[in-house]
Amino acid sequence: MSLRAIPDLALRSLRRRGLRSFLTALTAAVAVATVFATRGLLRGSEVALEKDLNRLGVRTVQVVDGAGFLETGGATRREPLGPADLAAARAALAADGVGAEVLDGWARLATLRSAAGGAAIPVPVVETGPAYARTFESELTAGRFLEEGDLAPGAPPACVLDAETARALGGAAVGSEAVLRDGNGERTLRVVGILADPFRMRLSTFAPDLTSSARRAIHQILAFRNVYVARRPGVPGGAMLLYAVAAKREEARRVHDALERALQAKERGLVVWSRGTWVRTVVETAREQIEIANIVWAVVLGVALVMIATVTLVGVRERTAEVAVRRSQGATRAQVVGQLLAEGALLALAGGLAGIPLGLLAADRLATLLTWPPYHSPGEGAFAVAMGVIVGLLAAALPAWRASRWDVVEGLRRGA
Amino acid sequence: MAPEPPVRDGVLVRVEGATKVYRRGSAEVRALDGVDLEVRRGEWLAVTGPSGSGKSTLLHLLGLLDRPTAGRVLLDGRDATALDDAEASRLRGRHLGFVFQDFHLLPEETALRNVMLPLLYAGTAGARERAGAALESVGLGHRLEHRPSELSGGEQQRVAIARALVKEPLLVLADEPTGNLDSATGEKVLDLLGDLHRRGITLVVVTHEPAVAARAQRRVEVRDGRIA
Repeated sequence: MSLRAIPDLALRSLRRRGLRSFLTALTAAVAVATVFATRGLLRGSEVALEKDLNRLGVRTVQVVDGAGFLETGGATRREPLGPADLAAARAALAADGVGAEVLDGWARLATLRSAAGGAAIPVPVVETGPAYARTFESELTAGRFLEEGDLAPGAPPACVLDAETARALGGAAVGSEAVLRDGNGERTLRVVGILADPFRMRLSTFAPDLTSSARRAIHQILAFRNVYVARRPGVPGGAMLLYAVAAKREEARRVHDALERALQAKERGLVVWSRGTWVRTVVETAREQIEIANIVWAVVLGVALVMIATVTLVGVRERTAEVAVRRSQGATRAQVVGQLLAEGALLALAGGLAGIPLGLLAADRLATLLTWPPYHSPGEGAFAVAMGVIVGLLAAALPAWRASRWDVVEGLRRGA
Repeated sequence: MAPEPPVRDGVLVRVEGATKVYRRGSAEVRALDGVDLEVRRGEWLAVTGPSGSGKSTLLHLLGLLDRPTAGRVLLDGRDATALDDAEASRLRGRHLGFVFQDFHLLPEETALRNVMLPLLYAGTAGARERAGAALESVGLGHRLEHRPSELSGGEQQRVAIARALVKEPLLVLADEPTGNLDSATGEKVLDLLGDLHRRGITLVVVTHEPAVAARAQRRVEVRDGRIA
């Protein structure tokens, strides 16, 4: 028995059934395009999410006065974080030989409104200095972060807004003024910079299982509804936050452990919180959502399988006489099965290869509606085409098996 | 499989007690009923009989296109009824040629590709050249790339004969080979079959036409599923 002739026979057979072959290949192309586009967008969201989250500063370990510290300003705590902790943290990290920069910030709740008018919005305010910018890797969409000059006595009060806050103020831009009201009274700040926050929408979209409190914590604590103002010595600033920025990402764990020990965090109820660990958790949570979204392309493949199988079954039924002639000329059942499987695989392969550019196009179009670029790789392309070929093979399997069992004499009689 | 030893010298095909029963719903149709037959090497045998007598069924058994309900068919000493599908297909593809009344060519393939078909399945080298030569030998060297629909009935039957002979078969089985041809064209086809016979190929021709049967060396008649 020779199987060498099968690809040639299959190709010729497909060419003869041009329109049907085209439509079957088109179905495969749409399925493969869906697989490629969906996976590209999902993978793209993963990559973008991780990249955005990394901007939050995966090298940074943060210490806060436990849950609710913003509301209370740490005042209700028996032993809140204080300047002595800053010194203790520096000493402990130096003793452990861990390369890390330790700095502080002061957070409290306030309201902010545009000096030009409009409603006031509640915001967490972080009083800090230029070094704070090193605790994250986010980009500025406009202006600058706080500078040394902003800390100087008599310097005009400056603030940096995240983009979400700027939008909430009616589109505050660099150079505009905002009025901050807190326990220390009311003062007007000049907006000197806007921080990018592309992450928020993605997180809301892809981590819907995060509880609302977790989401609020993410948004409030980690920058995206924050107002950064220059630290004013001697002015009560709210609850102290302590930040340690490890020299390398992989040292963040050691920094975390060293701070826990040095500050007796467990005993004092302090929360020592690694942004890197949080980033991993969020990305993994998002990945679970992405896995669910994989059902989309699996369903499309299933539909394509049924459609191609139906068309193939009908098409093969019309070939009773042809199959009988082939069998009379020496084709074995295996060769009949082989030819029909090869036809299915070749159609799916052709459709799959055509589906890749279609998928690229679809993903790019969809990406304009979403907020992240698709992620494509040759491996993803090969996976999508392989899925298409598997669908083609499965769709052809039953019709091929049935055709191989047909009665030759009956087939010849029908073809007469 | 080892050859069956007790085959008489010169016998290419032996049919022993072949019975074929078809079931049509609850009814049983006994197409062949205990047929015994021998076909000698190089012989031209005509199988005659009225329509529905079972002669085509006999031809299908000889060509391994069907299996008897009972009895057996020995081909060149081998019990063909004991072969599995792959072995039977291989034997059919390499050693048995068919010429049908309705030609049974693949309509979308050229004459050349139709003739190449058994060689492709058998994995025979030089299929294109051999098919071309076979078509030359039946006078269709100028029609290689024509499809069956572009050929006359006589030409189509000559393509079918080329397809049968291209594999250099032991046995050619023809089922009413002139049934769809006018008498002049039928004569030419019979001449071609005669050429095959002169080349030593064993021929079994099923026909109900006395003129066709007259060309054969020997004639057997099938009536009601039995050799009369």
